[in-house]
Amino acid sequence: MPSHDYDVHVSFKYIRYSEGERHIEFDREPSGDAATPAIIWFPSPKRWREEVPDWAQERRKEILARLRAHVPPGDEWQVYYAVVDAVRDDDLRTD
Amino acid sequence: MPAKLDLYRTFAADYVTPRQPVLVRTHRAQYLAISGRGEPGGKKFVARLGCLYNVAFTIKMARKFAGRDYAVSKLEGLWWGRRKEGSSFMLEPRERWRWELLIRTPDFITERERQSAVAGLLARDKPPAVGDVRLRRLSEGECVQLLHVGPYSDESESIERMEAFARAEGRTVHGVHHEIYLSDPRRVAAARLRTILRLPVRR
Repeated sequence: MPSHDYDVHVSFKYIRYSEGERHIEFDREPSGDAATPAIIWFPSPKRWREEVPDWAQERRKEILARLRAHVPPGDEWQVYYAVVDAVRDDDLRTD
Repeated sequence: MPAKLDLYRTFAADYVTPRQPVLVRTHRAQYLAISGRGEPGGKKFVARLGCLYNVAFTIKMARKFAGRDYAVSKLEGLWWGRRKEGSSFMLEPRERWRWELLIRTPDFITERERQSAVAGLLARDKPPAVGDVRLRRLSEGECVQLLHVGPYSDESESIERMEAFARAEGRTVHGVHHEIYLSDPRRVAAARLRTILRLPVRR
């Protein structure tokens, strides 16, 4: 059960997830105009463990669900790998 | 994770600018760039801007995955018309304006990475124009620069002040009009937009 107070700030080129003084930033690729969705670049589960601080290590799905509730609904999500290719949908499941 | 490289901070002397004109000595820099012709904010302009962001972020995310992260720099633009130098293009119809949109990119980014990013984007059905994004270097040297606060449409007065300042300092304008966009016009009111204006000069 999630129990942490949190905040999500959606900026032009990043999204910041905060819990008090601690935070994680995710890259947000803007589009050429407001009518075209932005792209949110998100780490795969394996990559998540390598990139995020200890307090977030086991909370990827919880934080992803919180982010999704705050970002513009049209924004696209993209998982990044060594070679960026098609989205692996399973990597973005939160259920 | 190592600290993220931010060229805007690393080369702060290129960007920290008062609202009054000053002389600055800019660093040679590498950019991702895409050019075009037509009205700023028009259909072609936004489509090609989207392509520039596509390539810039694809390269950046591959580098981040490889453990060498950096911030994607602020959007910049070169503007000209029938004459390549100075600001006379502003007297021409906007649909004839020529532009080159730029994102400053670390020197360690290579042509091979650009090609790889473009190939990946085309495989994901991105527009063919992503292939028009190029890596290029820009050496502007000494420039007159100021921070313009307000709508883009009010830049003429700021540019006149820059040109008068250049004359007073014994310089002549000899390069392309350059703008660095510090604000997102989708999120900031026109009266509060902050834009660095830059004109390369020589004695």
